[in-house]
Amino acid sequence: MIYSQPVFLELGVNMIKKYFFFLVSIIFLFTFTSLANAQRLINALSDRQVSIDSSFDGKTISFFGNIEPNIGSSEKYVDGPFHVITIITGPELDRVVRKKANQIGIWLNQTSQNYDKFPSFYWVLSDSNLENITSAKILEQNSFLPKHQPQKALKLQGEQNYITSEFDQELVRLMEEKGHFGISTNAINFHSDTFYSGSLALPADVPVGYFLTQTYLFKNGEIIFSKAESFTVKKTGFERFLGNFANHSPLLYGIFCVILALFTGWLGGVAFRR
Amino acid sequence: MQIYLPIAELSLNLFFLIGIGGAVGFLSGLFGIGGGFLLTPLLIFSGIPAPVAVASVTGQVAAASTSGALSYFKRGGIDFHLALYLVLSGIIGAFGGVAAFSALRNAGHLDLVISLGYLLFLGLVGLAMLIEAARSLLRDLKGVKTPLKLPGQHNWVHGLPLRIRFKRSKLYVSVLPVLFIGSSIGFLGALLGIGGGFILVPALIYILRVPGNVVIGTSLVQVIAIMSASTILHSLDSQSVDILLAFCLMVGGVVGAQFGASAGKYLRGDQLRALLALIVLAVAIRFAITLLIEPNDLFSTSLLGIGG
Repeated sequence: MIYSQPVFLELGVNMIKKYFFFLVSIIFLFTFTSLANAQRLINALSDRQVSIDSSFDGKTISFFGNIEPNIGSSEKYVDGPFHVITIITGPELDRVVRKKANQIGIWLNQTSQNYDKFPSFYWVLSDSNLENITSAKILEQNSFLPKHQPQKALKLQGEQNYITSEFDQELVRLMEEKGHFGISTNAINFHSDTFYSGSLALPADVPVGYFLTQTYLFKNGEIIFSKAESFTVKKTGFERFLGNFANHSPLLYGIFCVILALFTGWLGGVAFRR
Repeated sequence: MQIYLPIAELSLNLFFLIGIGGAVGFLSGLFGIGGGFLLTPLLIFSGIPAPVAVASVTGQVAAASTSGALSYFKRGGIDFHLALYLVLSGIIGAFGGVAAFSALRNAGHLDLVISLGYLLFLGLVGLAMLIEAARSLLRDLKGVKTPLKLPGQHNWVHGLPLRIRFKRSKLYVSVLPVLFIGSSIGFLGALLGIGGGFILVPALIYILRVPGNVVIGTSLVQVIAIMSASTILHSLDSQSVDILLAFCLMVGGVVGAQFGASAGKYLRGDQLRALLALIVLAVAIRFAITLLIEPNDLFSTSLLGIGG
């Protein structure tokens, strides 16, 4: 509210009382429009929900967007060139990284590092090489890249004077090898100066839960607009039933498994009796 | 055809699952074993998380043992009095095994203990079986007929206190070794995802002198009980029993076992035992390699808490 100070000084107390609501709305409008951008992003995801059923073998999520003048903006056209980075973050779970070492001749896990609330899925998608889009400084300030995630998680869990360790980069490497972390600089295509589309293939072992897609619009290396959307990955039908059954009534589930096993064994014995 | 496993949270080929279930079922029918000690490692090596593999195989072994136990039951080949003692002590052992399982998983040493456990037990049992089978084959070559050690001969174990009479087994033996054998097998079975039949049968024969006509039927009852208890305990404790995975393995296993049992008629007992010993040793060596050779990747990551 940096504009409010001089305006208040010029007007008398009575005036303030009289025109209070008018003033507030002027100030509000002033502040709002000056902070708002000339451009805005209209975008959409192909799927709000990804269903996992018994034949699930991965799924491609598509998204598209258009950059257009903001409402109330005096400009009729937007001025490019624009770049887009979309970051897809999966559910945050507590994770541990372990390192094996040789002790008395056998290899066993010896040292470890915990990462609380670490994203189980993290893909950075863009329309061009990242160095063409923005500076390394901005990428780091915003913790945009997969390699920034371990430090971000550790800071959030309150490790004050924690120094970067080999566990950080090894964690990112392991996640990348699983296909759950990565950067794809050709996943987004601009079809015109302002219209783009992109896609990401979710692997068959995609974590289940809430996914956030954060889209950043860049111009001249600066973030000029950002927008968040979300989708969920959930088991449906029989898979959902079994998952819930196992989690909510484990005793019944276990007993059911045993009955199924005994029945199958009995049926096999009967069916093949000679 | 891919099938999504809801608890393992990954998808595998359905025919691959039924296939390994069938292959292990064939061997289990051939040798009269549950096959858990082959199936659990196979699943771990094909990418299923160790906790899910161990917990789900317990269900499959229960199924595989049921058809065998039923046919022994009809022949009267089960000593239920002895089985009762084995089952009760086995279930107590299984509680310990599942508790150890979750403590080790939280400490990050579950994979190590599974590998070490397999290496030690399969190595020792495989070696003992191989030596025994080789001796028998050699004797055969020389044409010497040595009388087998018959049950009924007493050893120091029979002299322990708290003796009980087991009528069908024609035994008058201390209850202590019975409870010890039952609970150890229960502990190992729940921890390693094995039925333990291949340890239990020799233990019953050589330590307790249980006669041959009831030993397999009685051990099958114990295996079914321990594996059923482990399935329920693993469901309660870690929720890592994948019923779909277990069911695919059961179907393959039950069918494979029938073919294995018919194939077994064409092989002699000592040849079968030598073959089984080699398979057991091969699995032990596979685990030795993972422990002794420097791994390609020193680092590993897993989720903390339930399902990790």
